[in-house]
Amino acid sequence: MMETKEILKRLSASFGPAGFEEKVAKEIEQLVPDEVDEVRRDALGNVVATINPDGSPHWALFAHMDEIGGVVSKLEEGGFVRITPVGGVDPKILVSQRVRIHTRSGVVDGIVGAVAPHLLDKDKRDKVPMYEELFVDVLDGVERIRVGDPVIVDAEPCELKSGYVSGKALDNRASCAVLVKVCEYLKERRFGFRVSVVFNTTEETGGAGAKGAAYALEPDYAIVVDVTHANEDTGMNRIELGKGPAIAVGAPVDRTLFQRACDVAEKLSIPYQVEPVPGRSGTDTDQVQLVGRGIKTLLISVPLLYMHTPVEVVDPGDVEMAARLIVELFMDFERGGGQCI
Amino acid sequence: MYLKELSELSGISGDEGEVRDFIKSHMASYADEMWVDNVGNLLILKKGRESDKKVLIAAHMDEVGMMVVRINEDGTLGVAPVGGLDMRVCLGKRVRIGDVHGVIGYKAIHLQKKMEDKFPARRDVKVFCGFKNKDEAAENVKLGDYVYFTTTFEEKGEYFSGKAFDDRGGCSILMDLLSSGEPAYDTIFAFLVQEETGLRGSSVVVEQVKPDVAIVVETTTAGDVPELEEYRWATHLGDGPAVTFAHRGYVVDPRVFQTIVETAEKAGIRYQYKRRTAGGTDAFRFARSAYGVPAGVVSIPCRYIHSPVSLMRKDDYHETLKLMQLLVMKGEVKKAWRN
Repeated sequence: MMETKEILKRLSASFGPAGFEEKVAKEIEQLVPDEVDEVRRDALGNVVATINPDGSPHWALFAHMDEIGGVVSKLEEGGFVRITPVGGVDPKILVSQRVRIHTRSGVVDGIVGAVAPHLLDKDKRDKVPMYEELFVDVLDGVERIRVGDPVIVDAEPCELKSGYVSGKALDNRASCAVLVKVCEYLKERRFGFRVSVVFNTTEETGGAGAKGAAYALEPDYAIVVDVTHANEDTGMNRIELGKGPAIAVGAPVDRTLFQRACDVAEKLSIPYQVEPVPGRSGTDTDQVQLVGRGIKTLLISVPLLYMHTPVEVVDPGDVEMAARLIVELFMDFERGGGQCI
Repeated sequence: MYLKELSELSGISGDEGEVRDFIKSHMASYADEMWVDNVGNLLILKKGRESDKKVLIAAHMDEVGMMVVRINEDGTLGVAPVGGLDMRVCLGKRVRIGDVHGVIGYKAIHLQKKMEDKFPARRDVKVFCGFKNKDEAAENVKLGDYVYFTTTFEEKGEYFSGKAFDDRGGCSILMDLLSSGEPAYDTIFAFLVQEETGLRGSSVVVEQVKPDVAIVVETTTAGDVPELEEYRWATHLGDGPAVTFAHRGYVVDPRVFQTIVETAEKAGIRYQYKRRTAGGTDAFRFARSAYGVPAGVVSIPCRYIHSPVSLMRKDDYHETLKLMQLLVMKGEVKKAWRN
């Protein structure tokens, strides 16, 4: 069994901007334990692992495996290319980053150039460049690059104090790690329900990954696992690193499932935090809930600092607690706790 | 070439010890005399074929970076630039403070009111190391500790990329020269401290070595990127060393300038002029010290200096080295005092 922080680092380092998930999908297929009954890839590129396929009820777990990134939009003279963002990329954090361009014939390295401040007009000096003003300085192999090739920031994960892990794409690879841990923990349990574990595509661009999988699977219950802002003042209940998974309450989630999850956490002393979501959650929950005739859906989030930067931070303990909470919620239903729904 | 090792060493202005030790250990066997002065400059005398004149060549060991200037209640660290670090380039980077790893994040794009189109002020930039509170942070990090980027050196195609090329590029050239044989004249190889914080180390060199002529080997801004029109480029990559005719506070002694240009031309070495005069170098100090040393500047053009990752062309490095070999080892520099 691989240590959680090692799973996090491996997934953080994997490549897979929205729409280009092939490589991270392969990595995840390696990480899912052999004991699951089946692992397959569906038409939308989702990785779907099935546990106990003839069981009931049917739980579906969703974590998106795509990350934010960019796409080459234009080739410039002199060994430069322009890029356009995939998902919510902050141009402020792109300046002076090493990037990797995945061409059809291998990876090409580049640097997002910064114009020296003393060469800029005064009024432009502290202004953030617009996407179309950013340029990538390509070191070697510029002739291999084509418009449409995906790009990500080259950021190696690292460990910080308090056991935290920092790196790119922990939104939402931290949640992928949660699902891997769920598969591991379930190996030691005996149960009658069915679980579909979906590592889905295209969340960052609002795509159909999770929605399409939910449509095909027709689960009785769905749990979406994503990340949420930690250690930041959002004007709502402050979520913090290291204090357990955040359980969302609000419109996109089923109230009874929420309550049940909180009760289970209390009963087993699993630390958790409550994340109010009055309206849209900004996760796949918004879509999964409304698939088919509607699915009772729960949203569990891993607290994460500096979202959508190459130095996102998570606590591996929160990942493990989230996985434990999900497994214990399943077992609670198994014992009849869910009949009230 | 020592650029890879030099680039990955830590040496922000005032903290040059690691770089100095590296140079000392690799150059000791080539030195006739070697000493570290009161401010930390490493000075190495190499006897020449002739001793009637003395040549000084210099490069600075320090790099720009950051210093811890505040420990916040939440355990994060406030930082300030040391030297002309462009604080715009700090966001989303990994850093290291001694053995402590940290990151410079920024408020998630989702939490910014509209999307902020200005870079944050220096006081809003924080280093997060995972400390839970101020006390824990204060046990591990001290005010005044230096904050380093963790950029590794890479060699790809025609390029070197890495941090601190300004001026480890110059240091590497000096080391290449020193280890390549006997110079024409007694030559002082000066590895200087604190250039980036106001040309400080170079202030005390002339008194110690009394040179007849000085050449500073620098790494300088190349502007040849798609967002800058050509008239704004100070230098560009691929056309060899940049020769300075004047910069802030100093018009280069014409004899030295002409000697450098003519040496390059005669040998068919590509060179270019540095077309902007903003910014200074240690030549300014040499020219104003004691009796006023005629001092020239030769620079390797480099994109994105003063950022976590700069880019240099290999051939520019090698052309610069060739030019310096002719000037110092072959002795073409003599024309600077015989004209």
